[in-house]
Amino acid sequence: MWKTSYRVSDSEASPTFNLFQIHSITENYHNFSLDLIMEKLNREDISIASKHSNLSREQIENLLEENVYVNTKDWKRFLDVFLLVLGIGFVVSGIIFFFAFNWADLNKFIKIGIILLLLVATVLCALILKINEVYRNTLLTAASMLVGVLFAVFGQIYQTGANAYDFFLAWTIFITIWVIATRFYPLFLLHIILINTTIFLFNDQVLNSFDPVSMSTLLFFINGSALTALLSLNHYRKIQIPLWFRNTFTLIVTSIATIGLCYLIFDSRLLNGLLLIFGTLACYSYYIYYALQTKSTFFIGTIAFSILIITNCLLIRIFEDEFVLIIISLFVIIMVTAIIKLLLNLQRKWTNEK
Amino acid sequence: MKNKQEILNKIELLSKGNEPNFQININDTLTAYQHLEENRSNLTIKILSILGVILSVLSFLGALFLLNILNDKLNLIICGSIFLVLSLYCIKKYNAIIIDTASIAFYIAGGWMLIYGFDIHDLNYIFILCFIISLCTLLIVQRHLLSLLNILGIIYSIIALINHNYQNILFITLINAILIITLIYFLSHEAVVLSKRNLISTIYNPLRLGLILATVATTAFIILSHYETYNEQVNNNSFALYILSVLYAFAILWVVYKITSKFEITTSKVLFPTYALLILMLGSTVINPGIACSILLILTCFNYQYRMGLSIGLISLLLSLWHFYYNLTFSLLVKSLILVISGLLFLAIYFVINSNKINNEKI
Repeated sequence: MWKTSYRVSDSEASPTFNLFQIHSITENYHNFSLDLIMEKLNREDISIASKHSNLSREQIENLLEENVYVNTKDWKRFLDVFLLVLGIGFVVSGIIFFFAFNWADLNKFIKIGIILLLLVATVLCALILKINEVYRNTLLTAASMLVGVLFAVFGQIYQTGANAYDFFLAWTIFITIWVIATRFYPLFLLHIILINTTIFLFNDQVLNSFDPVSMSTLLFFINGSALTALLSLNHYRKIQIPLWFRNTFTLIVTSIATIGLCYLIFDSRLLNGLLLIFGTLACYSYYIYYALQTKSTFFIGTIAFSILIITNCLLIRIFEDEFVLIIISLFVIIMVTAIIKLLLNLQRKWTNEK
Repeated sequence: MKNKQEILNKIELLSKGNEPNFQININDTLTAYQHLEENRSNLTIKILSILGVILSVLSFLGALFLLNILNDKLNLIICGSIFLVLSLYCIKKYNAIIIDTASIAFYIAGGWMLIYGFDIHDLNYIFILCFIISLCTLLIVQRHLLSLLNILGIIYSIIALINHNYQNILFITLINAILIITLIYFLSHEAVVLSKRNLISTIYNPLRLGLILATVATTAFIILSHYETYNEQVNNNSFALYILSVLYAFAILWVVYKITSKFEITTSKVLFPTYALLILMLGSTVINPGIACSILLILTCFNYQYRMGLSIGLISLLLSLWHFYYNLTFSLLVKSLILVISGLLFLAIYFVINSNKINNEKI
């Protein structure tokens, strides 16, 4: 890492340089060809340079125009995308509104028929059309959503209820093959949400025997194991997990663990939550190891914040006094500052390693 | 991290075309880059910092309430002042991202304790106090998050003060008009602001974001208050909506004029349909200035490549369109037809533009 103590020959007295001196500095230290490093300046560079140089308004204006502001080509591309998105968005919304208007008057066979037709058309398009794999998977994701709509409409017509666990169970089961076949992460996320909802509603509507801690333990183990398996596969280069999916799934797992442990702290039945405590410790240890290996600050930040909330609940439970809020306030400030310091240090270290 | 050579290369690039009088203070530039690199935060750090501030301030204020400390006003004033001064001193002295959470939490808690401690029943004095504290802080320290907080504090103390005393939405509309003009000025005169090398150029980034947030929020306030007072007999709110729509329309036309002039588009074949379409769009959405506000933000922020503003504009456009169609007093059938026709119109324009492009390429 370079230091600010950088000085150039006889210029120490006055640290202002003219262009000739800059040329000599760069030539003295490294011989380089400007053509080879023609990277673009960004707004930050121009802002810093304008602050510490004698660039005039016109010169800054020119630099911004050349390096930052858009040109005619960018405008054309932007207008193309903007008009296309607006056009398709409006037409699709209009069609949905049209069906919404006439929905009550439609015959039940037509209602189910329309959705079935859309479902079949979407699946056929995904299977027959010679299109990019991303579009094919997107079509299958849309078909998976339509399966849910189909079950909801079925439930509405035959009064089976739209919030019943069996509705979500059927939805989950019927899209499982597509989830496995496509390995498409948005569809995978939908499947995870459906599995969690089914389990939660099954306990709520049928079983009624799981308390919040046991429920959190069950959900944590299902989601935590899936995430750990995915991270391990990703770590050993078997599969590539997109960053957005990995982070969303991590947020889901840490949220379940945090909520479960907070319930446990106020529930006072420690034995009930031993599995959750050890499971969380094991998973968090592995995630931190994974974060250090893959240089991810997100994992460390999320886990640290989860531990911070759990510790706060523990403090409230131990002291059971209003004064503890002052301690919590100071504790949060100190801990968040320490976490940020740690993350900045790690970030700097990892950037330097690159 | 950028190394010294990379920075010197950048300076070399900056100097291109600006010879022979170009002078730069290399030591200060290197220090600025080093400070920037050391304090460059990613999204995780930003969210963690904001959550930390919210959590600590809430628990601290909760403790004050529960421990009945709020009854002793003198203590509150003394503690509040100490917190304020301490937080500002720390930010000024250390100027690093790691103390942001602590200092901003102390700043908000201190400011609140000070205002509460004065035990003022007249809201006017509270707003004036907020204004003074925000303005003084802005003049003393210029950290990004704190400056944004203070800029919003200044704008909203003024708006709250006027709204409390006059309760006439037309005054808020006037302030919104000033906000629009100021926003367009600062977005389109970035070079002028940077070349001044003064306080405004230091707080340019938070100022730009603060103005965008304030413009969107004030427009939303005017629109929502119109729907709240819809059935009242004396209602200035509809008038305010129309004035605001017209103001936004003029602003959009001016921005489009500036863009077309910049790219030297002078053919009436392009200009006439562009202006006609804009006028048609703005005319049909005159009852909801939120749409015009979003279009203005999208156009200006895209033109000057301000991504945060562009994102706010796009989100605001989606919400405004939803609000506009939801509140239209037509049947669902008419609404669906309007939506389909609008969509087809946009698609037709897209195909006309692209067919011209293909024809030009063939030629």
